[in-house]
Amino acid sequence: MPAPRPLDEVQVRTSFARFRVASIVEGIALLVLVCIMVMRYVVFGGDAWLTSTSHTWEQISSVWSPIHGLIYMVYVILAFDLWLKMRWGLPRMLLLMFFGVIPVLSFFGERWTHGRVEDELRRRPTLQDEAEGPAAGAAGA
Amino acid sequence: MGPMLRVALRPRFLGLLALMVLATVVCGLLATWQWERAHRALSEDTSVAEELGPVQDVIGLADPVTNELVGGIVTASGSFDAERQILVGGRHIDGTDAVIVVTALEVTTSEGEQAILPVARGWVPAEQVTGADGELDPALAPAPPSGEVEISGRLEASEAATDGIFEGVASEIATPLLVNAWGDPMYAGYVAQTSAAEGLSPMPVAESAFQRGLDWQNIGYAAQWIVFGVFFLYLWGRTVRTAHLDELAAQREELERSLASAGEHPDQRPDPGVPADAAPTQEDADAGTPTPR
Repeated sequence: MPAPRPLDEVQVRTSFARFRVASIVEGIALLVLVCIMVMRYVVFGGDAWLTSTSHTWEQISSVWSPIHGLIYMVYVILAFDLWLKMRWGLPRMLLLMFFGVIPVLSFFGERWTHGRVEDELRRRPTLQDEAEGPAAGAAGA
Repeated sequence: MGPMLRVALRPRFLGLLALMVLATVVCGLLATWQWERAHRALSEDTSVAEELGPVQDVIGLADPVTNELVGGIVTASGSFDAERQILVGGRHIDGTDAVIVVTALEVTTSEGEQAILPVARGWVPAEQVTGADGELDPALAPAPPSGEVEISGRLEASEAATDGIFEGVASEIATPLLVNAWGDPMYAGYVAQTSAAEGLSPMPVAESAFQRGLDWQNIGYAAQWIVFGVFFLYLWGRTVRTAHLDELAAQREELERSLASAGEHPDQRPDPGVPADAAPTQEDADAGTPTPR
């Protein structure tokens, strides 16, 4: 294994800030989707599976589903951006994508990711360490 | 490409590739499913309310009611059999709990054979046919007209049976169940009567999600699944490339360090032919090694 490449702390922090917003927006959007699905299929559910008796809720669902899909795609793109900047392995990217599809999980996923980012910025070499010189980097760690 | 391919063929990356291919295949299947749904919507959309003529000319006894035929208006003449009539409950029409009355119409096929055509004559509010015990009672349903009648209505495919027919009550208008209760020969579909029937409200259009023009939405979803599928493969390629470039950069730094130390101690220089000063800066820029800003 070669020595890990240094991270760019400034870029990482910018990407994380975007990812954090996306996590929260996606989390809320997914909760809204779950509420709509419950109204459509459970509260106004038909006798058969996946049928509904409420035209209104079917309409609302058909409007929100694509919007949520778009929000999730933006979330994936911003997660991908953070993943690149953190130079993480492939499984970590799959994990970030997974955080976005389970209701409520993206809020916890965002906190967990924040922890990982802060921890790794402390432990792994960054460009800023090198700029400040080895002494400053060591003092910061 | 050679060295990068060697990185790609490592067990770890091959394992990840298998995972990514699996994810892509799943996405492909989901895309196909959405694509088919979109097309089903299209084929059903164009077939609504076409005048098809007498039912005998539209389908034979053994023929299925295809998507092209569903929703088309057919006519049928024959006589209703009051003894062969069932109630199909659990429906919601215009905000009321509704029960559909399905009666056997005895018709003569184009071959001159006697056959049964199930006809959903219309619906009544559930309370109208609910007996004192709270159960649906077929005896309370409006009786069909006697003698030779002519009706018209939409040709519909049989609903999928989930349960049986118990004491004249069923949950679906399913010909596989009706043929057991009423005998054969019987047509494979049924007619939802639109011409007036005494004591009954006319059947609404059998509305399915597919008839509501969801086609573009489904095509959009199919495209979305394809994008996700490609994205998984791209992630893998990107991971292999990063690993490869990192190793190259590490090798260069290693070389730089050895060259630099060789420059400080000219006696220990490993290769006297390499200019110690020029090479590292060039390598530095190529490797994308960070320079302090």
